[in-house]
Amino acid sequence: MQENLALQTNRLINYNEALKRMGGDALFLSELINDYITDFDHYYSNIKVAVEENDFPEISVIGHTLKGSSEMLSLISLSLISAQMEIAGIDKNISSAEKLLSELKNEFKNLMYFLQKVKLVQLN
Amino acid sequence: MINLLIAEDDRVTKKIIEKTMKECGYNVFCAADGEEAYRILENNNIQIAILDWMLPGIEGIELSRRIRSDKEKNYTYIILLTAKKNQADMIDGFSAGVDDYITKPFNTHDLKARIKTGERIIELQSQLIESQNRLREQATHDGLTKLLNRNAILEIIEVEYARALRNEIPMGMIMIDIDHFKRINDTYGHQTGDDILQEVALRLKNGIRPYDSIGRYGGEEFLIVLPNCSMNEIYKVAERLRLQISGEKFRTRTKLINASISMGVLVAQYPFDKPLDSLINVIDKALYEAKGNGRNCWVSVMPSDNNNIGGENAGKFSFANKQVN
Repeated sequence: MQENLALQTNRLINYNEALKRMGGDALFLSELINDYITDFDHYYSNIKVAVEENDFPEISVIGHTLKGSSEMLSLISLSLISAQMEIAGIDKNISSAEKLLSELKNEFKNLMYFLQKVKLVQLN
Repeated sequence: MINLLIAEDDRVTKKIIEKTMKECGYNVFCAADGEEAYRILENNNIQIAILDWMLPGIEGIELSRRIRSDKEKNYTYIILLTAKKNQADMIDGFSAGVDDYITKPFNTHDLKARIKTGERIIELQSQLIESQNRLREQATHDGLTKLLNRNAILEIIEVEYARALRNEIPMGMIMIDIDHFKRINDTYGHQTGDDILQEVALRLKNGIRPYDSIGRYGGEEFLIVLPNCSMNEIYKVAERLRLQISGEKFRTRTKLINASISMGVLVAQYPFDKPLDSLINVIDKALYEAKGNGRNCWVSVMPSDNNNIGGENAGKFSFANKQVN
């Protein structure tokens, strides 16, 4: 499963790159991806509240944090959206933040679908 | 084992670093925010710190400034971890005192290699501290007896004298000389003489109060300073020291030898308007008075004489105790 997955580099995840970053420890990478999925709900809820309340510093901080963990796991599209979210917070651009919030949710769903398909995470 | 702190609020990144550092054999502490990280830094000897720039509470860069402002603590090698990638941020990081700067996403092999550099710096720093301590020890202590040397004990006396003046409290001094030490050296040899010196030093050190200081003043002379010490108290100390030396024979490399000491005892009472040199001169004379009185005894300068030391009463020592073997 992991060998097939390693060959698949798409806009969602560069698995090969992430695996190399973890020193080739596929089990550990899988554990980290599961942690990321668990934490994402928390980050998403907080950033949603921040967007609703026009709390730009919070939008920027959560965007920055999410960007960091997404990049560590080579979650390409999510790290790009998070980086844009950080900028939207800095620029105090609420319409951009609202648009990105929706993109974040959709892209996370796409990631989950992909990861379940390749059996990297278990279906709930 | 090296103590290493990871200050990172993102669970994924923290877990990656923690696993990597544990594999390297470090004793790892973790903090999820700046306040927690600061508490860990305050209460533990953290040698390497990996700090995320953007932490809740105190940011990593501010933690770095705080670490660097505390000059008392051992050196902490700081690696700043951040997703900030521009040159200005990097310059800010180094200006705050960080040693290395790693941008996210990082590779665990890269992190390990950089940590090794930190380890080398920490190792060099401990060697430097060790060397400084050894030099300080050599500069302030007598090599044979391991007591403070003449300069060091005189410096302490100066400090205590100033403190006694400031706080209007008495200060005691005892000058000690080993009786017939030349005869011991001539009869049994200098190595045996050294054995006696070492054992006398040990017994004297064990006989003083924890907050008193003792130093080797000359060949077989010792000087003790007793801060905030009354006359009654110094008499007890002097008598205890005398008994500790004469009460038990000295086991040397040649044979069991009897030894004794003579002492000059003085308590300077506030207000003491005489310079420290005069006090040392007077106590020296009291010591020779004790020698003249048959040795293995102590002679004190009475408090009433203190204001006149060095003057016409300088020779009026009171014979306080005498005990001959």
